[in-house]
Amino acid sequence: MNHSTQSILKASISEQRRIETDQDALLVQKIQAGQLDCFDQLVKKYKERLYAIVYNLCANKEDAAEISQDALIKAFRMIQSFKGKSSFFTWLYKIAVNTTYNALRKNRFKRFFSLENFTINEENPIIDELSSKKQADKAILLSELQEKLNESLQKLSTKHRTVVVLFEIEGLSHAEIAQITGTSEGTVRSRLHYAKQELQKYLKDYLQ
Amino acid sequence: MAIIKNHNTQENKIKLEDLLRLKKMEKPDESFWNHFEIELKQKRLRTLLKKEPLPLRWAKSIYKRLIIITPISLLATFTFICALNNLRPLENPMKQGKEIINAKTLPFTFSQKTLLSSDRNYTQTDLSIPNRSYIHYSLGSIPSTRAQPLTF
Repeated sequence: MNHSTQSILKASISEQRRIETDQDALLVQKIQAGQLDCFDQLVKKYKERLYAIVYNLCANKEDAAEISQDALIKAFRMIQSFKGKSSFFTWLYKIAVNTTYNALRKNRFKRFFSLENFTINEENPIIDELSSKKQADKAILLSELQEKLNESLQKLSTKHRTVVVLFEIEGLSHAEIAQITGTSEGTVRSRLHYAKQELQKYLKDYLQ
Repeated sequence: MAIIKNHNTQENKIKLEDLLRLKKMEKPDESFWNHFEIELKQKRLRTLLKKEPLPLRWAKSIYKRLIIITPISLLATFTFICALNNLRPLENPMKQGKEIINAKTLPFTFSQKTLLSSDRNYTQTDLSIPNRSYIHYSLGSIPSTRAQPLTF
């Protein structure tokens, strides 16, 4: 992918985000005016992304379901206080991240892995390479890789893990992550750099 | 684990980003989402129906009022104190039988414990001014009207 294609892609993503933000603002206004069923539309739109963030932070699917539901309920209760200073999704992600932090801090949840199944729906060099293997081998390899990957992510501190999850997995920008985590963009960059270095160390057997 | 390691050394480069992108593929199935939405709706309903306990409701209403009242009352108190300070008639210390003394000519009495060594090291100094409770620091011939307690 050359530079111009990348910049076009970035521009289209930011345009899409802007449209989404406007739509969200409209829905939030309706909810604040009393049309509570509009919240369902927001849930439909964000439930998967929200669940993915929480799941990648805690690496346990049962806990992730409970925490993301709690986060959505919190957002529902607090939506009257949403002033629109930031976009709705950063506000919602912030609630989700803080709810996860609280749950992990209280150690309320189980500290063992309970991982989701792989749904292979996009191109990835690892999957491409594994495609030559037998189906059984492929499944074993993938599950081994998944476990190692989650183990490495859990070795990071929550702050570093959050930045990796939001940037590398969820594809948010530094500015958006800074808003969600309540830090500066510089801090986000440095945390990301450090976290990647640590992950490289943990996963060095799998990387070249 | 050995299979992947061997596999990796033989084949092309695998980047950290590729590994992390694998995480995107960890997704729950459709039945999970159905269950998730049902549970969420139940929780939401419970939230809507659940009344907050009375003390919490009181605390919230008091808090809401305090947010408005506190700055106003603080401002009013501050203004009142300022006005009171400025409107107070000037006290004439001579009328109150207090003596105006110059700080420069204060009589210093040292207790017997006081040691004044040759290299000017003072220890256990006891400075007292008998029968004078206030000192007026004055400049020129106009005495200051604000009496200040003598503190050291």
